Amino acid sequence: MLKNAQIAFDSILANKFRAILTTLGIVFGVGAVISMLAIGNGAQQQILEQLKIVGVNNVIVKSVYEAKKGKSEEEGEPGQAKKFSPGLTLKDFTNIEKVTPEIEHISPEVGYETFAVSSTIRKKSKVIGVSSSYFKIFNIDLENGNYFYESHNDARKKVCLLGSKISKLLFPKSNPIGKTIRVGNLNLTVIGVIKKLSGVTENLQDMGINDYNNEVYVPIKTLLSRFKDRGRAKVSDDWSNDGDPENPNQLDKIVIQLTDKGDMLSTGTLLNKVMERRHNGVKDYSINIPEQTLKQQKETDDLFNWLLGAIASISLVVGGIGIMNIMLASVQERIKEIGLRRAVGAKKSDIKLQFILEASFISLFGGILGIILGISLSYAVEIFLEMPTKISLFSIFLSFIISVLTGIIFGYLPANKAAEQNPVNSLKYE
Amino acid sequence: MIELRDIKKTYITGEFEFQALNGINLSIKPNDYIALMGSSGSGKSTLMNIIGALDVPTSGEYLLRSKPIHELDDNQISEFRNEEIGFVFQTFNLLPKLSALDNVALPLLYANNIEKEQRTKQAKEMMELVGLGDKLTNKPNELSGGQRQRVAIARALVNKPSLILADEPTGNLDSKTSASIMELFANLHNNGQTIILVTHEKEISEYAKKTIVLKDGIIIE
Repeated sequence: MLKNAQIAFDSILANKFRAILTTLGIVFGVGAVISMLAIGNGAQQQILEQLKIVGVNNVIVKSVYEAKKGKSEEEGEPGQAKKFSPGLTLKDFTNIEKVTPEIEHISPEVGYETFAVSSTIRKKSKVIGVSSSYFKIFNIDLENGNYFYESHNDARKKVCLLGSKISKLLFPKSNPIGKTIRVGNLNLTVIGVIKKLSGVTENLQDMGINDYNNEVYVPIKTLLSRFKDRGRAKVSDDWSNDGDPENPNQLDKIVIQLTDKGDMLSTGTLLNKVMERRHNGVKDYSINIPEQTLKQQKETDDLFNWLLGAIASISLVVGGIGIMNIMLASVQERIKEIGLRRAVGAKKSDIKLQFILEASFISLFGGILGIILGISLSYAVEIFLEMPTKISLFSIFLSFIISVLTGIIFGYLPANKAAEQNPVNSLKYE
Repeated sequence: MIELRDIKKTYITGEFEFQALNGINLSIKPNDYIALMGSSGSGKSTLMNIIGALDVPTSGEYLLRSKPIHELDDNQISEFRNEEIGFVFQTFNLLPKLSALDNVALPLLYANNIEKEQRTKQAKEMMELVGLGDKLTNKPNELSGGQRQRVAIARALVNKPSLILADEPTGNLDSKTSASIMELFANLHNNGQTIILVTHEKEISEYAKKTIVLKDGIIIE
């Protein structure tokens, strides 16, 4: 075995360039498998992190409004008058809180795009009104200071929590706790700073999750009564706005967290019924279950990953066939060598082993190069395409095994052919 | 030492049968130096292949020291070739990518349990014996025809075989080089080596002590 390994190794070294060319198929095959699996794992990892962010057992009722005026075709039967709906309001919130079973926490939410101003700095931000349970629902941790409580909310206290990014923008050098910021014509005292959170993507925001880092959190009652309440139309409201109309609903969302016993799907159905009745059948709301959506997305992703992996594996098979092809040609080319080795005493098994080992070394070498390529590709994807990747040891181990097996399997036929050569004819072969 | 009894070899190609050997009886004693002659198609190559155990007879017996070689399986035959036979070919058949020394050591690689140092040592001795002690690391293409054949002879000798089978060893060499190669064989014979020389050249066959002439698959003299 050892001597045949030596022979095989020497004959690869004797044809370095050809060995490298032969190995390319395996290099790309293994590289593709590793990077595909890394991308797949990365996506999965991201979803798992997002699952943490969206929290467990959450159901979100979101207000829906037409972004542009004009008739949409989905509006119903032509000629049928549109029924009136007050939109998503605090009354919905109170009602949902009353009728829904197994609620752990519930919070209304409304946000306005605005500017936040510290003593010297003015930054674009979003001010968001929530109740104190909001922070429990999303497991929001503080970097500094304190949360606000229901007492703050009921008393319409002028306090706020800052997201970590806006906090740094507004107070680049000093500690923001106790300082005052201005939002519109409202002065707010900063009582806490939210810990930096990463992984909130556009995808999550569609599902009703906020990008906490750039936002200012205020007790919702403070916000509605002191800043702006879309539920109360004012004469001063601008009706000539030609751009995207503002969300006319009083609330953006109602976020509900169920207890462990609560069932998200049946709660969703219940909420649908409640809301349908309250809104006279007008579909100006949507009910989201982020956990559910993410899990479905994960399943689709899993399937997609397997598909990618399978496609990448095909290139491994092609690589294997490439090795077989070259090995067959090499057997033909070295027929005289085989004859001579047989004449000086090599057994059939020696010849067979020599060629199988040769194929295995080539594909093993390809496998190692492929692993390096795969890892580099994964990093490149992460850096240049900004997609999360995660290289698993398992995929490296698997590629290693597969590349050796490829060599053995696709080397077998040529090796057999070499071993079965008639020595007399081989020696005469020109 | 070697006994061939009624060796026949028939080749079948399609519908045609060709009787290459038609009942060969031959006895080779230790330290024999036999020239095997005959024109092309006389069966001398077939006979040499059978003696060298590269080919098997269709019928007949092949005994080496009373051991029936024709009954061995492929692995045993490989061992037999490795231990008992040293081949020298017309076209040298050196492996171009190996150094002269490694070419000589090749049979030892397939022998059982010989350490690398031992292999190198034995191969070196043989290279010195054929007068190429200073060409150990040269590749075959860096050697002249005569030197290549000497390397091939060293390779044939390295396993201390019972029998050297030389198939037209001077066929690719000029007459001066041929003479020096034949001198080398003569020396080996003088040191007790058994040699069978296959040739169609009368003057080369004269180096041997005994000549056997084949025609149409039988020994005619």
